[in-house]
Amino acid sequence: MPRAVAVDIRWYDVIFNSLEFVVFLPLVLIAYFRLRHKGQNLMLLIASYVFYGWWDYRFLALLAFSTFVDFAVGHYLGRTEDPKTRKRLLITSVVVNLAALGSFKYFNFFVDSAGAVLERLGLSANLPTLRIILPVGISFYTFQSMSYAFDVYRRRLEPARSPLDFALYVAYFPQLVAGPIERAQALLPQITRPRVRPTSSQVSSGLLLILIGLFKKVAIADVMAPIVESAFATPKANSSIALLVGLYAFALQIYGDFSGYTDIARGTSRLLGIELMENFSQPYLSRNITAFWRTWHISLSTWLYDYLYIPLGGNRKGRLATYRNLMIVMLLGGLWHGAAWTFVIWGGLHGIYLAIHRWRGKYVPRGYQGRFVLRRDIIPALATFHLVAFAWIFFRADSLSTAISYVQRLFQFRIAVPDPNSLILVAAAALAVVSIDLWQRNSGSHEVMLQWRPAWQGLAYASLLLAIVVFSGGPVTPFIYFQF
Amino acid sequence: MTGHPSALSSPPRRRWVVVTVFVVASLLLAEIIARAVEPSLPPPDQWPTTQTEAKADQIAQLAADGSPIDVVFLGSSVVVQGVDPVAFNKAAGDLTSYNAALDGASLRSVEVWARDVVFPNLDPKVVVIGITTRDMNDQGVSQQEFYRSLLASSGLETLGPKSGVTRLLNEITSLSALVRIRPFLRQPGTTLQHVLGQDEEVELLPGPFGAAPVDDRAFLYDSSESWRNFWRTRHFNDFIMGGQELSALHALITMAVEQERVVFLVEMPFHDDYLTVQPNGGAAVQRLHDVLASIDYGAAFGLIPLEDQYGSEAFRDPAHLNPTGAETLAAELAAYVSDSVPVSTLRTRAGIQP
Repeated sequence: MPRAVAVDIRWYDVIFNSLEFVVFLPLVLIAYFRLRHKGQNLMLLIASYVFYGWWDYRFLALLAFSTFVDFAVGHYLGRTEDPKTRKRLLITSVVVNLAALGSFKYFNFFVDSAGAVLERLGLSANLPTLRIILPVGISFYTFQSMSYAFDVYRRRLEPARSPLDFALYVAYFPQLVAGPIERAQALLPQITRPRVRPTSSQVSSGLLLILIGLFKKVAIADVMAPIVESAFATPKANSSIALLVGLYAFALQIYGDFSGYTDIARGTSRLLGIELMENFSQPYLSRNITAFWRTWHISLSTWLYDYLYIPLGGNRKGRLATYRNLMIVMLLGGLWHGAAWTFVIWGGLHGIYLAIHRWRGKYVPRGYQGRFVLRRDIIPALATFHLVAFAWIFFRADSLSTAISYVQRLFQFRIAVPDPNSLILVAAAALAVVSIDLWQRNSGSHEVMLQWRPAWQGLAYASLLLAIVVFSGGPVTPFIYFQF
Repeated sequence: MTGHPSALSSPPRRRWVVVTVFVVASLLLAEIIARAVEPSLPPPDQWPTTQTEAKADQIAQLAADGSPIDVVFLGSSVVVQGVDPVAFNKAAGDLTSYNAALDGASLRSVEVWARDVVFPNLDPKVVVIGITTRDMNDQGVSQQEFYRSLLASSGLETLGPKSGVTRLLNEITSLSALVRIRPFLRQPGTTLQHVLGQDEEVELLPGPFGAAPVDDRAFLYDSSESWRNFWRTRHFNDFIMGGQELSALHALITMAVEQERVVFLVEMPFHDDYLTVQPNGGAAVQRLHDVLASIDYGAAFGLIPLEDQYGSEAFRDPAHLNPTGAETLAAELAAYVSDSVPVSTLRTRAGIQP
């Protein structure tokens, strides 16, 4: 995906869909199960640093620095009761982490934006910009590391005693570069405590998650990528139908890509006996936008809820303040994804959707009961999906002008026969995604296939494998969320 | 949602045996079906276009025959249509040329194509790169699409160094018909059209020495609104010169000069109507002119100045010469190249006696 801050991933980087990972993971597993607890943690830390350093070893220093600062902050927070000192320590963590994020991710964005404003005011601006590479996963590990400092500050968590354990918490390779953004309360105890060897059902469910994740990445996201690219590269050259197909393709691509990554991360971690949180829970089946945000990138939305929305006052300070808080959270959530106005608008649109939904006062309870029916489920889910898809235009477009062209052209209703290949592939991908999500939702499990009869299981695994074989073999495509 | 593994009962070994049997049986069945279907499908394309496919075959054949090629022409469709290699060979006498230009290519693609296919196979002593503003545009959709499809093509995949693991995987996968027919499964619409006998119009293949095929429309000058719209939206949807394409041009020249080839650049002729499809009109052309004039790689490099003799009757559309124009340009290039680099110098430079 072309972005000013795009991360350069090469084919030989150790990423989940690379051949290198096929070698890397078994080596890690073999070594891991031969060691005792402390040795396991040390080995996982080394493996995590190798995993990250394979991309660019220079940024290991930044990862280590962020780890060191938050471990030290946590350590001193555990030793002092003075509220002023505690606050200063928390501010130190926030400032250091945000400064790292700011310099690597947002510096040029703010400088460029300031320059544009000055130019509009008739002032000549020759502001400096930096030519820097965006470290992979910086937004993920800084947020994870910061959440630890917040939780220790709020006394929800005891400070980590072992720097080794804490360093592994920040750098744990399955979720280091694209999440889920794990809370220390959930992940640290699993690292600190000795782990038992995974049971056969854990191993089989872990392998199944990896298989499903690879399917989503290779057979859905990567297949949709050229269709998306063609639609977004020149919206003006495409018919409205082609743009609609391109938009559906992107909705499927980003879901397949990101939830596929999460599945592989969770499956890999499960093989090591460590559970990672769910990051997606059938978001496109959501019946309203609030439900969508409870099921899409859950680790980020709950992070923003706990550390931003609630401290801002949440919904406790009246309606207007609630709407304001929702807007702030979503605008910053948009900015978290990338330093561009398109992301801000994407976040703003979701803020507006959420505020309107809150204003309408209709809440759909968590969980799901009964079968999917037309009026109660299908129409609201389709409406929600289309609102989300519309906002994806701004998320995906490489500039504001491209996004505006896309929207204008989309609503000109210029009809032309779309490319049959794109149409069939998008329809097939949509069918696959909806089928998997419905099975998972109705069974209440991501590993629903394990509960099927052996014959159906065999057919399902073979179908996933076949799809991976058919659609693999091209250049390795990095996961979209690596650039955030 | 409860996805925790503890919620799942531990599956007995027999269960997994049955699952494995079904997986293997399903994969075998798929392979059998693929083997049954494979003969009815055409050989899968190795390259992004039929023309690239045909030129790759021609180049491989020339290399296998040991036929010496002294001069190659590189560029986009403007060079494909604009330089007639047969006319060049006639005019140049002792020199033999091949037109390796590709429709849809820009300089990034040309660099990859030259590096991996043209230079290693033909080992030309002279390289003539024909350029237009379109080829230097970093933002053009068609340029980017062609580049991506070239990089992803299996033809390119088979070239260049491979790791042991990749070679092993290639060997294993080549045993499977399912893997062999997967390009068709990735394009279900096109495959369906083929099965139903509704294939698109067959593309004309290049003639000898990579010459452009002459079709019925070659002499009908087309500057229609649909032509302009196509160029505005596909080639000049946005325009930035000076980034990736220019870097590719520098890399291409550097590589050729390092390999002891003589390199010529030529700014391809265009009709005045061409200016109307460019976002910046004449400014882009002037910028290209300046950029080309500023390139200097010493004695092994030259910029070919063209006579201003290409009127409306020489063009098939504002960007492309017609066969008459292509013949004229070929003769002009032949005269310039022959004068600048005599055959004796060429063969001596390459270690070959004239």
